[in-house]
Amino acid sequence: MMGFLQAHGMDAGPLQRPLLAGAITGLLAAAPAGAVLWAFGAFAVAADEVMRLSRPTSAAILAAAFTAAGLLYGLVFRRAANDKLGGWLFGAVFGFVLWMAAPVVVLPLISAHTMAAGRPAQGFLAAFLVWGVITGGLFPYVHKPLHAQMDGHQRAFARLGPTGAAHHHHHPLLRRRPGQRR
Amino acid sequence: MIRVISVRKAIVAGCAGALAWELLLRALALAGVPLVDIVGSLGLLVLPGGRGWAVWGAGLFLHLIVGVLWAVFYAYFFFSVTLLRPVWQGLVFSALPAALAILIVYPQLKLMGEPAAVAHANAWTLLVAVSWKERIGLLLGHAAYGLALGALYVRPVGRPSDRAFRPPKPARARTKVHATERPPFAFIFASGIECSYPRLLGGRWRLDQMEVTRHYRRWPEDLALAARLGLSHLRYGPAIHLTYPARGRFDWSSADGPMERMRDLGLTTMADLCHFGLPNWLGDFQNPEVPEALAAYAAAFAERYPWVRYYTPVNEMYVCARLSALDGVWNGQRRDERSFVTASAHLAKATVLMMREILARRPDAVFVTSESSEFYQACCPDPEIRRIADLENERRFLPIDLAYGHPVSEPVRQRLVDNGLKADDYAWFMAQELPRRTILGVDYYDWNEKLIDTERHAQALGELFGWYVIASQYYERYRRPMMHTETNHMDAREAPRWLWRQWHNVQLIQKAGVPVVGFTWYSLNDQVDWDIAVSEPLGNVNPVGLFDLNRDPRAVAQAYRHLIRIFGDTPEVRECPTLKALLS
Repeated sequence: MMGFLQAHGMDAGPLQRPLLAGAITGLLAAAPAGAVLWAFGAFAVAADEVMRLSRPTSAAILAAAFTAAGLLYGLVFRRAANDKLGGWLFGAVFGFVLWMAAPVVVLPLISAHTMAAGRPAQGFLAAFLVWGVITGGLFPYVHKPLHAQMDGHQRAFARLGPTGAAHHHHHPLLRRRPGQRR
Repeated sequence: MIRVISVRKAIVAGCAGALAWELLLRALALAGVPLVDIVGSLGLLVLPGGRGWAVWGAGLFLHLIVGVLWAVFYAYFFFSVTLLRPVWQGLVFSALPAALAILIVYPQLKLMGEPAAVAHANAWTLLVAVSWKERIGLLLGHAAYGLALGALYVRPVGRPSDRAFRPPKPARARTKVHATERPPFAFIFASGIECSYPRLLGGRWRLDQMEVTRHYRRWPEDLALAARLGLSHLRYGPAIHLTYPARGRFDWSSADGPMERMRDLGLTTMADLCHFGLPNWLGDFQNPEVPEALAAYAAAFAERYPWVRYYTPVNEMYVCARLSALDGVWNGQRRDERSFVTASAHLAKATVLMMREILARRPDAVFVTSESSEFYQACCPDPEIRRIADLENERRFLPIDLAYGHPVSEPVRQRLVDNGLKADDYAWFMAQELPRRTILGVDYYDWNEKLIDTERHAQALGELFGWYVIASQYYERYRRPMMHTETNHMDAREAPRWLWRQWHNVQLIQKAGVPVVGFTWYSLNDQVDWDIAVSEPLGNVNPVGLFDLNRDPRAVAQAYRHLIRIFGDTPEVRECPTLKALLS
């Protein structure tokens, strides 16, 4: 899928901030996802049975994890995540993959094979899907105001300005002399 | 945006797939082979302890939703990725949800149905608790789903050519921009709205780029972005299948808004009147009525928009004739030399007559005959391979030779006669006088230089000699002021580098004494399905634009802005002598 995304030009370019946007969106989406976890009794299972930490500490860890997941979402999808039509789907896919990884595989491994079952298990799936859909759906709207303006962006100028005609990297077959600067 | 999809088709195909699954497994259960009841399991999750039709209905509803979600996923990430026929593609795709269902989702589904809130298990112990019958059932169900999905999710972009289409109401532009004053004879920095609208699949399907890239909905924003970028000119072609719905009848409703907005923004319109397609009623480029019909259209256009001075009567005549009549891809989809000669002659005649009609209404009109620059290199000294390369290197000039009244070589003239061009018609072309204000537009892409390989097929060579060399060949032949009228790069990461390299080609050819009046990055937005020459309506987005289809600037937009800023104030750009001579 990464190759497919790359072929369609997902490079965010110098004006976009997909990681920051992803982190903010992931944190925002953690609230409704947390509500779903709580409503299904999944949060109690996560805090008491799996993490075995106090509820506030568990909530903070979950919020941090969702923020990191949002950052990862921005890193994976980059420019493609700006799609207002498809964003919810990309987020849902990402949430589904996270669900397969976290509550299904990783958490039982670190908690002596303790898994949520019944309604809490439903809650985990629902919470990750809700988180994904909201993260993906919100991302374009959070990201837009974070874009840098097209006017005068010095860092971009070095790469996209007149020297852009040259290879950005040193040619692989030409060696530099010891101590030689670029 | 990575893919233009049809959400409606995905919903239909996803629902059909989920129903096909249920029909197959229910029929097997009724025949005494119960394998797995996914609908029942889902229903019991929603209605624990429920019975009969209520559980079945709830389960089916959930399964339809899951089916639709996977179908939309298929539409975005899998459709057309393989070269298989759609139905087999759907079957192959179904292996992914099948594997996930067997390994993770179905075991979890069973766990979700348990009364306890916590279980002591792991993914492996849950996996081995699934029976072989259930696994076979899941495989069969997914196969039925995939076959139905693949069969139904086809042609996600475009529409049947005989179905009426009214462009949607445009959305308000959020980008505020004001008109800028430019020196009257400044070098042209242009882009364009990709506006191809060929018919495909034997003429039954129309793929209108302005529809699939949502330009009809977002043109106020697109034009604002073009102005904000600092462009002076915009190549713009209202879709002739909308503006010219019947002989003698014109409907300007889809064109009036953008045309007036461009004028308000100070963007000089380069009107592109025929871009790879025709209205349904006119058929294809084999129709001898095409030249006169297009001339009538040009006359009506010039009357409707009297402020337009720059015109491209027919865009890339060679490419249009080649793909419609020699390569069997667009419109009439013919594959013979006679059809190619006929199409070339009709397109060239149309260009001549359109220029005449426009000049009658706008005597100071400027014509930019945008043509794809091509070059064919023989791979080896095999006489037949050399002959093919030589033929192609002559054939590339044919439509523009006719439109410009430039004599062709004797072998080519004989070939024209052998393929149906009458001597009188050839003489008519040669007798035409090309309008003084005609600019030879030369387009160049990474695939324009080709190698005739040992199998006698043309293969893209990449940038072998470059625009400078190929454009020089065109200049030597026609001796007209030139413009680099199209370029882009399929790899968005490489695009800024390509832009600067093309620009340096323009500078070098100017230094060599060739009069060049403008440069174009084409197009303003990403395009759809140009990686397969718009031969099928697949919906793949090609990241070639200055802006992507979300209208976010790509890196090349930033680079082009730098270029315009850096060079915009140089004397030779502020006042281009060739352009001054042309426009005066």
